[in-house]
Amino acid sequence: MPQGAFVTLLGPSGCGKTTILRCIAGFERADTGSIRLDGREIGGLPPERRPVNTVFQSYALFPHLTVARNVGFALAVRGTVGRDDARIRRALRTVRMEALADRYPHELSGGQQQRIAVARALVAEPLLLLLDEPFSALDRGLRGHLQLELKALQRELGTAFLHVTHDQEEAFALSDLLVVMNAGRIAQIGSPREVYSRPADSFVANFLGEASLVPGRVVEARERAVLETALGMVEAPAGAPLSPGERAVLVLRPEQLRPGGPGPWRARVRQSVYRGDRFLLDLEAAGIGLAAYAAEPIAPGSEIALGFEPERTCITRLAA
Amino acid sequence: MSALLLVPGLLLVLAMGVAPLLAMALIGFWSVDEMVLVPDLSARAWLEAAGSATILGLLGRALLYGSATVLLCALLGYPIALAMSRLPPLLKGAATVVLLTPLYVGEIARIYAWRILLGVNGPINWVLVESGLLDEPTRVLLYTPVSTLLALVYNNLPFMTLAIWIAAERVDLRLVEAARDLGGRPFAAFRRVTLPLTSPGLLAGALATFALAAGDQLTPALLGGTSGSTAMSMIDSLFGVAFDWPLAAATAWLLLILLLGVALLVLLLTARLPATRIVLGGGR
Repeated sequence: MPQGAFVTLLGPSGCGKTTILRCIAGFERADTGSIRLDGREIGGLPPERRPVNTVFQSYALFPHLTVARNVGFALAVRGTVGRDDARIRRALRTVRMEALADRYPHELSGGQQQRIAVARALVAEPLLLLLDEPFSALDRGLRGHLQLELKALQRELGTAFLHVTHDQEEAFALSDLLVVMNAGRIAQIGSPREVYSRPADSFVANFLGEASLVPGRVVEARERAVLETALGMVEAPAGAPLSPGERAVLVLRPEQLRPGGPGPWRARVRQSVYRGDRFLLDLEAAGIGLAAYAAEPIAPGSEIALGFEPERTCITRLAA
Repeated sequence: MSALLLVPGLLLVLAMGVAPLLAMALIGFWSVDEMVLVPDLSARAWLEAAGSATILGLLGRALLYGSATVLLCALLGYPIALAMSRLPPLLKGAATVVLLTPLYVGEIARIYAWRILLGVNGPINWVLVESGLLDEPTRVLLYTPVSTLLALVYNNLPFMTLAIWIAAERVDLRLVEAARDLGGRPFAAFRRVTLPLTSPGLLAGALATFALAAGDQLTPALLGGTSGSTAMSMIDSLFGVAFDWPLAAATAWLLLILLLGVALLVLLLTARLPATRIVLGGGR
């Protein structure tokens, strides 16, 4: 992990991302491998001796302690807390919660609880802050705002954040670096833009955003690849090292398709679904289902021309 | 509307719990004339009970046995309860059965079993002598306060353990993890998180065990030897053999006031702790 970065482990539930977090925090032991932080092996240390703190999924605030004593917990167990400790006040100020210092957790809203959990984890000044699905307990409407706040806080402090989620929008909004996981393995590491536009395999392409996958066989492969598909030969940038003869997929995002053309393909409209800001078209071309956006609905059964932007699409490996 | 649901229970408690107590309080003011109970308004029985060194001594003993039992049961029961709460569900059921097994055997049977175990020729003494720890069998084990306390702890341990266990079940393990994560060693996590959050169970267990142990008559009588007379046995013989119902009633009421007083005191003291207030008062 780079110094001071906001890194997100992203993957479907059960892919092992929370387990990685728990191994780093020290609640679970890794069977093999090592965990190094700042050049120091921490894999063998108990949780209390690791320079790492966690924001738990449902925050795990101590229900019997006030907000101030929750935040001061890390100081209290080290025996270095004063009655009105400046560090507690500073941490509460960082998350703008000074006014609620004497409340109990059950008197707080979900968003307030999250801020206290963050303040509590930061008060010991960890080298790395772990966040386990910190937004999953909150209303959708509240999330966007709190995400911006968390991102701003991370920039301001310069502390490295390692964040776990299965929500791709959250991952895109927050992260400097994304680690996409699938069934216990890392499928791809990259910036959100890289991972979205050049997915390393069909799992990553499918998991992040909407994508139509056109299967085919690789004819030529270098930086760019040529794929032979039911829709004809397609040349596009390669998302992963490919070799001729290999089975691969062309990743088509809905926003990369141009319904109505100009373009090489013919497609039949199966359905138009209203999405508020636009319509999502369910298309079929040469027996392959494709999704595209359109400003206006098109009657089901219509035959239309379909264009695409080869430079923005990508050809990538089939996931195992 | 739902308040109406309370009515049957309330009537039952009034009729079967409170009414006899009031009747007894009333009898405390009566007098006895030539083995005949006379409805009267005399303070004689109350003054005699409150002034008798014997009765006060027995009340003190009840307090002592009750407190000692609570303390030992809490120390023994807490680790058992905590361990039970960490068991997989199937083993939890098994552990509950094992924990309650002693209660399925009648109290008399249990007490006689202790007599065999603790006796001068019993297995415990045999082991102590054979292993060379003692030169000859000890008589400290049976018909002494030691044997009484041992049996009281044995009889009441399940109640204490169950009460703590139920509280421990409700403690979110992530809170303990959070305490460790924030730099607390295992003991600090216990003292600052697990213990406060299980205090309601500890309190409920303490109140139940205290009342049961302080009011127990059989155990001290059968295992305590000369130390085995209790406030309960005193009340029993005052009602029966001595036929001094007013004095018996007054003594019973003094015992009740003492036990209630201790319970209220403990409740008041713990209710003042903000931590307990939150835990008891519906905090998540």
